[in-house]
Amino acid sequence: MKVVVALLFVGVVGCSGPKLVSKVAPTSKEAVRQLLSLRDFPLKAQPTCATASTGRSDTDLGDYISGWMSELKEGKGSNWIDVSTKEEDIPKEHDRGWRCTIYFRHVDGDDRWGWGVSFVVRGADRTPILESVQCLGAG
Amino acid sequence: MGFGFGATCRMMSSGKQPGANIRVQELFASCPQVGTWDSRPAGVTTGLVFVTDAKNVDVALKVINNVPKKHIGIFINGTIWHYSNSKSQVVCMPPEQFIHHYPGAGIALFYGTMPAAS
Repeated sequence: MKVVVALLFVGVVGCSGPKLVSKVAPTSKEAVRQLLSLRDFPLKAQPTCATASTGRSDTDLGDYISGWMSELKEGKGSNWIDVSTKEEDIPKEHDRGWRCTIYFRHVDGDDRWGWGVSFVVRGADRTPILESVQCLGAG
Repeated sequence: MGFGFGATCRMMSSGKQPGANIRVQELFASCPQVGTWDSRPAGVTTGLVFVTDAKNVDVALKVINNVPKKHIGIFINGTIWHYSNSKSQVVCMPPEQFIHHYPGAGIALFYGTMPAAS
């Protein structure tokens, strides 16, 4: 039994292929938790984020997320948080991970918008890759 | 129109075709000249038109805050063309109708001359 366990360990650690440890996609809750961990990400570091926030003095992703979440107001129409994940290669790290896409959405007739964030979490340790951050949204 | 500056649809997808800007606040800032609708020079008969609450706009700084309730159209002579989210198609209407795109006493129109293609 010990030999079998040891061989399995060597097989996992010594593997030189993709390092994806978990084949289970992050849950919606985990994706949102990872998004919150990116709160200090500077908006100016990513062209799609530089002008995407609701306030002119906003500086980081925490400001951006707070601004759009606070627009999900009670009243007419519908508000929801849209979370999706998709497996993705991480060529620089010879790894595979998961692209998490989180939108804050509102629909009320012509007043229809969705703003959010997309980022990749590593398969090996499920931490977000800063270079993969994008601020999504149009209008 | 060649508005390939700023955040484009191409950045949001894996497409290979040239992208066009998809953000109202970036388009407003890229217009060579902006102002309130009524201050539009007589010679400016074609350009971009923006509708939002006036408190979200600083004409002097050429800034529209990235608030949810803002929308853009193209004006050609006396007609405004814009994409209607509720109808899922491009529609045209006079400015007197476009200003009611959003309810509220502070809603106003602003013009912008066409940004340069990039």
